[in-house]
Amino acid sequence: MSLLEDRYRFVLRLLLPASYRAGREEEMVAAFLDGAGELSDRDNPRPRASEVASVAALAVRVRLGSTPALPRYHVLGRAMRLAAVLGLAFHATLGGVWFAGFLNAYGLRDRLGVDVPGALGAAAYGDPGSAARLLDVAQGFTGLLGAAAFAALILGRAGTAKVLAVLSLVALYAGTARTPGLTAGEAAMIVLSHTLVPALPVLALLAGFHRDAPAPRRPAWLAVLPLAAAVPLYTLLSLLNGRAAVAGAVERWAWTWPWMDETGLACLALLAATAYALTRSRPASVLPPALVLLIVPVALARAVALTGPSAGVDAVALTWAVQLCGLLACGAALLVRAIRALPPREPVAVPGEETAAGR
Amino acid sequence: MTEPAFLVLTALADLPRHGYGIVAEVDRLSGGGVRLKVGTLYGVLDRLAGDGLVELDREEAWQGRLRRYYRLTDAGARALEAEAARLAANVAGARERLRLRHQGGTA
Repeated sequence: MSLLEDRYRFVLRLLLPASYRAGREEEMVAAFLDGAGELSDRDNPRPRASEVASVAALAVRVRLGSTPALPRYHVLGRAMRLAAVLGLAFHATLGGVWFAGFLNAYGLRDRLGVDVPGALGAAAYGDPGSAARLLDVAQGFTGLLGAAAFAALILGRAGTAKVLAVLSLVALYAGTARTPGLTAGEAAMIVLSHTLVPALPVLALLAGFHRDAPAPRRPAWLAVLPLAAAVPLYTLLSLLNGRAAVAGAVERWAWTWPWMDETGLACLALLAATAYALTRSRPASVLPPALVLLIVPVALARAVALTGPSAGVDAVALTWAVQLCGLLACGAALLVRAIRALPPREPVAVPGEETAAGR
Repeated sequence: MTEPAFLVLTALADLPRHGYGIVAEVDRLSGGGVRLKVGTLYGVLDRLAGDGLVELDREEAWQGRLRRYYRLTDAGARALEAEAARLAANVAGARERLRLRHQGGTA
């Protein structure tokens, strides 16, 4: 075996699953070596970066497969895509809540004559007409980017959804960076939380909806569901916020705080989804592995919060711990369900091999 | 249909070819414009085979290396024909617009 062949096989072993290599490795090596020409080991030849990149791209498509040729990876691919859809739906809803807060800060409440005590929505920044105000308004509208990304995905525009989802993540970071009064530790904690919770659906979207993946086939009305859900959620959060803000009620309502932030709401949604998945989903459903993928960053975010500076109220830390335990228990139960439902490992079938062998 | 998929189907239109044979034919067909990497080629072949547009023709051992030859299926020929007609219509449309543009420029 030449040095170049040895190195190319190493790349294939490193990146491609064994079941795929069992069917494809020999002919891939042959095709590569045919194209490489006569190279001596003394030249210390290596596969070009572009060749390695093409194998890496193939590995992503195979591992997050869109065809049933490799059943295990087919399940993983479907789970990854479902995690992207569910995660984006959640963040689109939260984006709608933030946008409602933005409208509230800019006086929509007064214009509509609706008064919700304790309504969420920070005050507008900067003087009217100033650059700070312009930036604040622009930041407010970025709350809709997540909803736009979700809508694009549901309508079958995965490429557009990817661009919008990445922009919404960037906007989140920008919003954190310009929040006044944060210490470096608090800012780092928020950035980490933003990294863990909303970034996973975006990564799942980028990886899962590759060129070979089927476009999602969902009813069009689902595209606006997150924004519709944001209205009652905003009202509920505002009411809870108002109740907790009443003088003397802060300690009594402190246990609700950990359920009202991004991670807490994600936790609540995941606990409800787990209950549904464990009691009602079909054995072949990809919902359990999709929920496992979504639980990981939320549990990590809560673990980070528990190891960080104390919130000063015992009820908050206690609720964080309960959430973390609940997430871990749900994750373990779902993982067992997902592993049991995994199809057996099988080598990839070479297309038409049976018919060719039969002739 | 992507350009690599179109060119792979075109490369298999006249006779079955093995992996590197397809790479070399696509290179020739595209005038050197598309040089398929091996990982890309097998991604395309997987996709085309999954859609029933290509299938395995035969296997050969050459200098101790495995060569699998792939051929176009009837469905693949129809898909290639439809895509070629679509591209030809686009080309005809572009040529017509350019002809009108040149006429307008010289009028």
